[in-house]
Parts: sequence; C-alpha cells; structure tokens
Amino acid sequence: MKLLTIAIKSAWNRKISLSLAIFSIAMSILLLLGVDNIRKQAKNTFINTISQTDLIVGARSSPVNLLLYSIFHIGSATNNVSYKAYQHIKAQKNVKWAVPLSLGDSHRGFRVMGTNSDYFRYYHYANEQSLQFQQGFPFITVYDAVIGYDVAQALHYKLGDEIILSHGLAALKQAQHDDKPFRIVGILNKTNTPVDRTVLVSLQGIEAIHIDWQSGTRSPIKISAETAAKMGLEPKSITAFMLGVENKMTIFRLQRQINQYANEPLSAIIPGSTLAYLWQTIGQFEQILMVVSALVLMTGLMGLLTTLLTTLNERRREMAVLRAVGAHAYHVIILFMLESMFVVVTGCLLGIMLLYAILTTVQSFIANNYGIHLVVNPPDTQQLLIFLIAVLLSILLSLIPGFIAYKRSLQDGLMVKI
Amino acid sequence: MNLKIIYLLLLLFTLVACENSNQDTASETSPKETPQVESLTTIDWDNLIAASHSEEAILAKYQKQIDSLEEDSPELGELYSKIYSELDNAPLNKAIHNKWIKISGFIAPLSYHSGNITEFLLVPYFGACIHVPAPPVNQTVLVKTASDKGIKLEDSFEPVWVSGQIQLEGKKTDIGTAGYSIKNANIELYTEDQINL
Repeated sequence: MKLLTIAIKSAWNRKISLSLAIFSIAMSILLLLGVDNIRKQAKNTFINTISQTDLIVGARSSPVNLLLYSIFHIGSATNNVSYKAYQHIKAQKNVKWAVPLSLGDSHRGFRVMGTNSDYFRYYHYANEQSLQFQQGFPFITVYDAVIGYDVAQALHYKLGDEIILSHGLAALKQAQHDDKPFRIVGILNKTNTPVDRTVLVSLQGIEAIHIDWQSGTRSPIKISAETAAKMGLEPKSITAFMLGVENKMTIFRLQRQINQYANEPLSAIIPGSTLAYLWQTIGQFEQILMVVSALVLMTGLMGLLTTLLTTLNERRREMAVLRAVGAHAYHVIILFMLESMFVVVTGCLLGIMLLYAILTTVQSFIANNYGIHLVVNPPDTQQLLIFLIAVLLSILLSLIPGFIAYKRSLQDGLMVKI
Repeated sequence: MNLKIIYLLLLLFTLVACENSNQDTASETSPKETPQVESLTTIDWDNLIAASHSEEAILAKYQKQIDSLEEDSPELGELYSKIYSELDNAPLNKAIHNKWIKISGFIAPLSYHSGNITEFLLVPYFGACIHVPAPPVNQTVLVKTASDKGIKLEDSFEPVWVSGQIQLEGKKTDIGTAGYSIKNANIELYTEDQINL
C-alpha cells in the first residue's frame, strides 16, 4: 500500500504532463467506445424497424435502394408501381395481405406517406410489435392524417390541428398544397423507427392534393378541396407495397414471379435478407473505424510512454533516495507500472464519463436527424475487454522506463550526478 | 512487495476470466435441446426430394416426343416448358417426416429477435437470397429457433449446420403449399476444415 501512496504522490509532482496523458487516453477510449456504441445501436435500430413482412415490392431497382426508400424513407424511388400491378399481385392466392405505400410529399421536413388503414394492422416492428395509437384513430375521410410520435413532439401538434403538405422533400411556397389542408386525427406511440417521423395519410388524400398537379406543377385551373374529395380518387400508381404470404415456403417462388412480371419491371425483396446484405456491406466500414480507434488508443499510450521516459532523468535522485531507505531494486519497476496503471485507469473512467455526457446530449439530435436511437448503457463485455487490454498494454509499455530506471538505480547509489 | 504481486496476479486472473466468459457466450455449439443427440442423422439436400421423382425418369418419359419434333419448333419449346414445370413439381420426401436430422446450407433471413436471426429459410447455395432464380420448395427448409438461440447477423453469411426435427407441413394444394420446416433448431457454424473449397 505504501508503494501505491508513494507512486501517487510522486505522480502529483508531474501532474501537468500526466494530466495531459490522462486526457489523451480518455479521448481515445471515448473514440473507441463511442464508435462501438454507435455501430451496435445503429444496427439494432435498422433491424428493429420492420418485422413480419415477407416481401416488399417496388419498381425495378437495387434491393438496398428499395429497402431504404420504402421502409427507412432514405433516398427516392426510381419509378412507380401501377395500381393495377398491385391489385393483380394482391389477388394471388398465395398473398395474405398487401399494403400500398405512396411517397413523394413532405411536411416541414417530415416525410408524408400515403397508405390505407391496413397499414396499421399489418406493419410490425422490433419483436412483433404493432403500431399503437397514443391518441385518436386511423384516417377515415380523405383529408385525415395520422402523425408519428416525433412529429407531434417536434412541432407541438395535437389532435384536430390542421397541417399543409408540401410537394417533394423540401418545398417553397409555390410547392405547398395549401388549398387542401389535412386534419390530424391520430398520433402514434413512440416506436423508435422511421414511423415516428412520418405523416400518414390515405391514398385518396395523396390523389386529391395532386389532382390539379398533373403536369408536374400547380395547374392554373384550381380544384377546391371539397370538389376534389368528391371526385373519383382511385390511385393510378403507388410507390411500393409490402406483403405477407400464406405460407413462407413460397416466398422465393413469389419473389421470382414478381421479378419476372411481364407487364412492368418490378423488384421484390425479402426485407430480412436485404437488411443482412446491407449490414454486411457496412460491416467493412465498421471494422475500419474500429482499427482507426485502436490506433488512436496506441497513440495515447505512446504519449504516456514519452512522458515517463522524458522524466526519467529527473527521477534518478528520487530513485536513489528510495533505494537508500530500503526499497528493493524491483520496487523501482513496480513504481513505474503503478504510475502508468493509475494513468490509464483514470483515463478510462474519464473517457466513459465523457462518453455518457456526450451521448446524453446528442441523443435527441441524432434520433431526429438520422433515426438512430442511442441508448446510454453500462459497458458490455466487449468494451470491458478493451479497458483491460489498455491497462495491460500500459503495464507492458511501462516496463521500458521501469527497466531503465532499475538498471540506473543499481549503478548510481546515492552519488547521483545530475 | 507481496501485495504488489497479488495485485498483478488479480489483474491477470480477471483478464483470463473475461476471455473465457467471452468464448462461452460466443459459441453456441452444443445442441442441448435435442433429446437424441446420438441419433441425429446427417442428410443431404437430395434426401429432401421424393425418391420416386428423378430427372432421368421424366426425361425418359418424354424422350420419344423430343426426338420426334424438330429443333427450334414452337412445339418443342412448349414441350420443354411442360417438362420443366414437371421437374419443378418438387414433391416432398414423406419418409423423413419427424426425423431428427442435421443438414448444412445457407441462410436467407426472415425474422430477427434482439438482433439475432430467429427465423430463416435454409437453402443449398448462397445467393438464393436476393434475386437469383430460387430453389424449388423441396430444396428449402423453413427454420425457426428459440428466441435466445438465434444466429448473429455477422455469422449468417457462412454455411451452417442446422439440427432438429424436420417436419412436412401444410397440405399440397394447387399452389403447392406443403414444405419442410424445423422448429426449435440448433445452429452451428461450419468450421474451417469442414469447408472443402
């Protein structure tokens, strides 16, 4: 115990350079654990976004693109799917349910999705959870809207509020559908999926707002909201649809049929498989990030080694005095080991605290802008292992200055010529 | 002096203990649930095809017709389509119903639970997942595992051994809904020396 006290008191002498070493270790631990945390949470967020859907069908496109725009609302569709194709495939004996999705509008930065009331019945996420209403109910009339939890929180909406939808993903005044306001009739519970940041309306609502937009921009002949609601609002095309089959054994067969659909070019994907494929691709970047973080940790440890080596000369007298009062030669080595262990352990603790502080601060920002939900957890086994490796490495590195000091203390005795 | 050495030993101990516990949680190699571990039969994908169904038999049946038609004629094209759909018929092998088996294959994930894959289709070759023409119904097995025994996403691209009781499910109707399934399966990864490339 005395040795530890001596080590700490001696370290206090060099507190400035050692604090810098502690800080750099803390930064590298922060980086390592931060990267580890983010990649694990991101993966969980992606995997938990959709479940119990057997196929997603859209216009012919790469599987990852179709998955990203239809479920994660990232990116855009290459083309639309005709409503006829949707109805034809839905009518197959094999298909149990099929829910249409129509994208392309937004509301103050949040995506608007047109669908039907089946969406609330068949969309599942995480471990077989279905959508629950915090308040209200699904849309009934043409201009009803249901909003996700984050939309309500961010824009302070309540039931009965009127909202204007915009054309495209971000629009100026001329691209607002301001002649046809929608009324909020339902607010969903938090799901930690992109649904939280979506405004859901009926397919008929999407048709109504575009009824005088057929040329691609607002037409001079305006059709009022009431008139539009009475017109036949059967959609001609949708962006994509999700479906479930009666028997999962036939998923591959149905997928092939849809991919070879003669009337228009379609792609059908199995969400689970495409997610796995997406993650395999991203996984390579994850590994590179971890390698970079490990290199940063090595840099921090090298900084500590430098500090120990450069102060060796000053400490010769200190070692000589300790030897004189009865310390054994190997105590010198142990002193150095204790000092570097102390620095690394303090650095790790500081790093974790900084990580928690930063995570708590940016949690809501990242959730709103990237959809990834960061949870502040105590370190898991893998992360504890990282700590242990850091401490062990520091002990090993400290052997270098320790051994040099050991040899010198044998030669010097009390007559230290500095 | 003794205390220091004890500190160091404690540290090393913790490290070793952590390593061991890591290895235990990482490997799911013991099929604990299957009662008759010794009687797991390793089968091949050909065992999933009904014995009576063979390519040679079908081709032999149509051989005379093939020979009688000229090349590139539309009738020959139609005949080939007919033959393909019959080959495609994919009858199941009823003899292996309820047997405890072990079969190897690749995973096309369907459902996840807590980040692990707990329901998937097992297929004979990789690439059946995305848009390569799919294997027929008698070359696909629907596998479900207990929610804590799923396979990690990172491990799901390698060939795996799946063991459990295989069952024929569903009735054969005009859309061919019968198929193989294994519930409560155990999954093991292929080891390096088992893969012969």
